[in-house]
Amino acid sequence: MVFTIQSKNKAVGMTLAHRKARRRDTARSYAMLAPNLILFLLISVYPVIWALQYMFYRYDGMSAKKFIGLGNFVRVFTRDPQFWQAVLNTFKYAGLKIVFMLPLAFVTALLINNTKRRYAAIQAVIFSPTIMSSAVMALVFYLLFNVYSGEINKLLINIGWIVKPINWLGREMAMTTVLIVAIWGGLGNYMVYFLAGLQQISPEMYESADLDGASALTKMFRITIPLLGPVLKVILMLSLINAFQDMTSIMVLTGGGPFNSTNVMYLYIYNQYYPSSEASSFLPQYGYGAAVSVVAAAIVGVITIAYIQISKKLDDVY
Amino acid sequence: MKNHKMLSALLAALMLISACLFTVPAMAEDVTEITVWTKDRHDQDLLLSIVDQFNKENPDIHINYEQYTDNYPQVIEIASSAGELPDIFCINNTPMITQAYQRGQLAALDSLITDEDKARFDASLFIEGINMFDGQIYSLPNTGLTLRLVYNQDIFERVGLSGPPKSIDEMVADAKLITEQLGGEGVYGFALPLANPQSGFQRGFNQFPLIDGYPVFEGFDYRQGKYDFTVYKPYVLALADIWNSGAAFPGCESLNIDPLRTQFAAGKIGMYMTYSHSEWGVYMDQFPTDQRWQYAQIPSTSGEIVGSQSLSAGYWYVINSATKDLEKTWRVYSAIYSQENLIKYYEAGYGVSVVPSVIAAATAPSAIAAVPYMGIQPTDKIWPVAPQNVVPEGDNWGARFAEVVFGYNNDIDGIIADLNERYQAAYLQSIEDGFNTQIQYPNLAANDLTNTMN
Repeated sequence: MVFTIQSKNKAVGMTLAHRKARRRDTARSYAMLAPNLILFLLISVYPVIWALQYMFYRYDGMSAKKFIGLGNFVRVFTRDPQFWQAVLNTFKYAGLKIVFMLPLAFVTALLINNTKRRYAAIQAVIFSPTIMSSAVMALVFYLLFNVYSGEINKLLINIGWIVKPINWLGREMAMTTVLIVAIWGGLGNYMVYFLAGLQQISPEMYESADLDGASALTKMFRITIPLLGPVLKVILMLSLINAFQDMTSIMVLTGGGPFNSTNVMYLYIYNQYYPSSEASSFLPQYGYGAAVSVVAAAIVGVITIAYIQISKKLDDVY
Repeated sequence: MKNHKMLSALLAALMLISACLFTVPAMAEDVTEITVWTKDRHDQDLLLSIVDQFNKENPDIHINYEQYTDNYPQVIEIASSAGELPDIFCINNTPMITQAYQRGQLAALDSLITDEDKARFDASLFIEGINMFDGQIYSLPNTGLTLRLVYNQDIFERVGLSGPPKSIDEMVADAKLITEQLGGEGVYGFALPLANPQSGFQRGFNQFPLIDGYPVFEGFDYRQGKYDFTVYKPYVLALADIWNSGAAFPGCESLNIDPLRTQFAAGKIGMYMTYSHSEWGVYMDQFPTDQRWQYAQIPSTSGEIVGSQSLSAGYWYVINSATKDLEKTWRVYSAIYSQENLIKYYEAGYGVSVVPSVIAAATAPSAIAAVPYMGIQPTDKIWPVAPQNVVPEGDNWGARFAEVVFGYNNDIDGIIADLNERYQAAYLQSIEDGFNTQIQYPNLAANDLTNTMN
């Protein structure tokens, strides 16, 4: 009996100590989270709330804001073909960028991974665009691609592939040019992700496949790609987010033109808040910009939800 | 462990270097810092010498002179939103000064400026809506700029042209002739920097109606008091003719002004239109060229100047109404605007002065002797203020006219009707919102502005 009481006391003492320790742990966790949380609230949440408050107003930062109810949204959906052109361009840009860049990054990673002696210098060269300023990169490409004295046209004419210079930054070709620059800029980054994924696959898997007489293609489709599933999920998500957010290089290279042919959603929103300095009217449109941002966020939200659903299926498969 | 020690030492060294780099030298407590922001780089030698001299002679003030040449309006906009405007700042254009006035960010200069100074700047240069609002002065004039045709004399002589075109038809014909004869060498007759079409068309195209005697500035008809783009039709079609015939420099859709200038300096472009103040410095320092070039009058329909060109002048620097020490800020402002400095500014060729007392006292700069049309002409006049910050929904007039010029849309009448409707709606909205008023001068004559602005 005495033993039982002592045991109980001991158990109660332990529970109290355990609770105290847990409380200490919880407090420590919150203390550690606090800097991030405070910065997140200040830098991400507050500006969003600040911008969103204007979506029901006509407000340019100068005159008093005027409540117009759903007026801004009515304009987005009924009288703003430029925005929907930008949405279409964004999908075209993001889709084509991912479709061309990811397979290229995968093949590059595969080649480097399969080389017995890995060439760090080659990896560094392919990766280097990632660490360059995209604005500087776009300026250099502007010089390379310009129709009148650009090196690309000169080269193509010299080797006899073309007779007349191509108007790379004209309405017909501008999106292709923007995509070439984007793919060049992102390739190295995704190559490194793929390389990291490939290096996690155990060599023994390939050895057993070799013993079973599997061909290179069989190994690729039965071992490499399935085992890259989790990495692929992350890569797809990152490339999707980045492609929808790309704006800087487009702004420098074409400014969204000619004739809105390369205008993308985020650039369109940026121009509502910071209109072109050289136009005769450069009044910001905070109210309309906020409404457009909400519509753009909803579009990106739908894409994200769709992606999450698809990626769940990827989990089921692999 | 050794690695950790090395890493710690490295971090400590970095922190020490950062601390040294970012430590601002302490300023004596009785010294007031006056911050001046500018958008200009071309005049920095003179402005910096003014600042240095002032700082030496005035131990109680330290001028902090900062240049924001790229995206200056955005820098001002951000600073304005954050309440961080400097004590003195440069004005880019009329919408910027209007906006700053309407936000209550400008200090009125009337109580500070002396009668002597007022006389020095001439009463005709104080204009409501330009540098005055509600009868009070907010900025002082210095230089003025207008638009000119720039042409390559060597190219013109090679194809047998004796001078620049006077009429728009001649301009189109000359562009075609140059391309026809020298196109094989990669030389083209005409170019415009249309990467931003509105900005490109504001470099001369917008002057066509004014020169022809129509009181219509960028779509606003002063006589009717409303937007009406009808008069632009023949001008748009003339440019479309140049492009359709292949006489324009390739790639103008994505051409900015500096790349255009590099090609002009290389002798690849026969003519283009741009501002009157800038090209001398550009071809002397930025893109030196051995091509012979000149400014000429923007062509008109008949070849004669029936109306007048718009002259942009009246403002340069303004004082922030929230400046902490207005008296000291005014001392800095006065130093920048001293007669001596304005004369130096004009003589050094940094800009074409519009101040009569400065022009009278200064030796005409060598630039104007070499390129006479850089100077202000009797037919360059300060036009009344058109509605400011009218933002229509959808594409602006420049983008829509460019569709016709590049041959993507031939429905010029449809485009004009669309522009008339959207711009007028935006103008009426801006009146309703309270930052524009109904402007109308029923008797305005494009060649006699002063007597008809009522």
